[in-house]
Amino acid sequence: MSDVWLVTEREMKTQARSRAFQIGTGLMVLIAFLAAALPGLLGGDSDSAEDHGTIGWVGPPGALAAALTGFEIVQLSDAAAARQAVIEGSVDAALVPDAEASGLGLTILAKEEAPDELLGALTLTPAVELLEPPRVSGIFRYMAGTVFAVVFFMIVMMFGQTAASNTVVEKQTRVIEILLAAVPARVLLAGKILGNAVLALGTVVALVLGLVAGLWVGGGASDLGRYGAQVGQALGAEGGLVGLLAEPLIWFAIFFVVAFVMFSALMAGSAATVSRLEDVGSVLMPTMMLAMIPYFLVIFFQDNATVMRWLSYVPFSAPIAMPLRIFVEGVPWWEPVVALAILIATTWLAIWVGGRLYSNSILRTGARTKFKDAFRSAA
Amino acid sequence: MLELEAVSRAFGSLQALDKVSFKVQPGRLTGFVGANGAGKTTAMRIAMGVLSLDSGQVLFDGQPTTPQIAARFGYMPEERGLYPKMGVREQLVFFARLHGLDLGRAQRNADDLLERLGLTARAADKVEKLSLGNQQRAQIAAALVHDPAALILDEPFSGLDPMAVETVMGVLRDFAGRGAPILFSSHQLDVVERITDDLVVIAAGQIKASGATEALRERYAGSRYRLVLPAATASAGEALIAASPGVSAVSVERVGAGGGQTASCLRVNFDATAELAQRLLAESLTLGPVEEFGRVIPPLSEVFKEVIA
Repeated sequence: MSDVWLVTEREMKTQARSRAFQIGTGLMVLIAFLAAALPGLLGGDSDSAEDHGTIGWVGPPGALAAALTGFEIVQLSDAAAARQAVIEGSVDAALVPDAEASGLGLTILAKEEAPDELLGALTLTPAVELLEPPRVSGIFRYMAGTVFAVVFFMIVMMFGQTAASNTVVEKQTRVIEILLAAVPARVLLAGKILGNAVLALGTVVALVLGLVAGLWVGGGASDLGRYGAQVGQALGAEGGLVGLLAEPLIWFAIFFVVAFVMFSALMAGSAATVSRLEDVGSVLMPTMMLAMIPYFLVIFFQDNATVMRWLSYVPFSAPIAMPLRIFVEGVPWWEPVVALAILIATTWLAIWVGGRLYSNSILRTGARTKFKDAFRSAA
Repeated sequence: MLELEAVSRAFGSLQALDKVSFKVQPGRLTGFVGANGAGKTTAMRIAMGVLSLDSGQVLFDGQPTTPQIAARFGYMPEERGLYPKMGVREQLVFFARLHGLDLGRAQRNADDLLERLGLTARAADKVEKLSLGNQQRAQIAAALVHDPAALILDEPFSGLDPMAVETVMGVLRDFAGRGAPILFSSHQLDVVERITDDLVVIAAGQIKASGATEALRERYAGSRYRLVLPAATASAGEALIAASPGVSAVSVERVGAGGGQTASCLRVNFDATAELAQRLLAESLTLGPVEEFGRVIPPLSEVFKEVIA
């Protein structure tokens, strides 16, 4: 076990010290932060400001004018003056009495487009009561789905490939013979996977923190921003969104780590069959497909409850689909537990397959070892 | 003692090793020589346990080796391998700990070896920044850093300059002095000749000769003798040899004394039985003083050629 930890430690240290890793991770966290913060910061003052604009008013201001809160009312002498003021731009819109108009007996003058805010202020809207409100509204659902899927896919690919390419580097530089003279192949594989899993989880945590910080900073106007403000508050206070977010996030972390081990065991095992870094890409294709197909299925079918239910049990898509379902609809406690059990069983199988590929081909240099041969024969 | 017992291994239709048996005695440097593709590397990898064998066994101190036992060996593979982007010292400490040493001892051993191999100044450098010769020294350090119970080195001297060869020889000698068996392969027979106590010769997967180096050379020395007579008796000596039955001259040379002098000594290499050679020596002495007489012990390169022929 201490040997595994030594390998893990080396794997993490080398990786964390590489410039590419530092810059790559830094950039990802920065992008996550900006993606969350910018819509809020740039989303503008369209519906945030109390000041909705300047309205020209012809005639004595009555109760109606007083009801237009948030608008600045400017007295104008007659319809012609109002027309002039709107064209000049000294007012955003003007209300002129119009005997022929139905309803309020007013016509709104505006320059290029109908003033939505003024219209809204003048419209009577009945209250709406939703009898079965969704836990999470559409945009957040979509956002959460995309974030889970993108983060999962990106991080698994990134660190899985690191585990794979480090395997080939050890083979290519022949350091593998010295390593194998000291410890068995499965210890090396375990240490390598564990080291990258820790780094991957750390990166996910950094990304989530970046997102939350971005939402907080951008908190304000836009939908995203308001959501951010809520999250911010919720994280500061108690209950509310914390409850809503914490459960799927914790499940995501658990599923993520197990699924990462599954994918990287397969990737490192596949990578051991080649001897040159240039060949890694092609041997990783089958595993990539296993990760990519569920990823797109979740992205495309996140509104389809039936498909999502199935996807949340398929081990390759469960890490994305199950936390998403927990977030969006809430599921009974046993559902993620069963999905996790399926995932763990599949992971065990993947470790067995990956370990076999790895042990049987890690010392075979030269031409690529066929998966079939690597799987069957002992080195 | 490290021992290979009737070890065979085939790669497809190629019989790389055919019932290979030899011993590496504790405290002795055993040279392993053979042509390219003779099976040296295969045998060493099997001894290390990084390659499986088809039949036979590897014994260490009389016990069949297990991965736990082989993990105590030090190994320098044919194809050099260190992490290129890792510091030299850090890497040595890592390997030592991987072999089960605690951190303190790993660091002491690494520092000690770096010092002895003249790498202290480069300790913090990444391996890829080192010259090939220095990488080679680092590789040797990696094989020695965990106080191995036995050493298996595949071509430890290749790529080293003469100074470095001396340094490495010194390190290996010291190590042998601690009582561990050392097996190393080399194509540099002059180096092997100087350093080995024992020799194993392999050709086409079969052991052709093994034993103490001196004894092997002696055995293959055959019946060649060398006689050198001074100028004064050179002509008489020449006549004597021509007239001696059972003595066949291989080469007869007049070697000039230099400086334009016509006088020159006689140098003869001849094959004869020990008895006839002694008689020839006695007869030569009747002519006058003999400058040189003795058996010709061939250099290792000739023994090697003869053994694998």
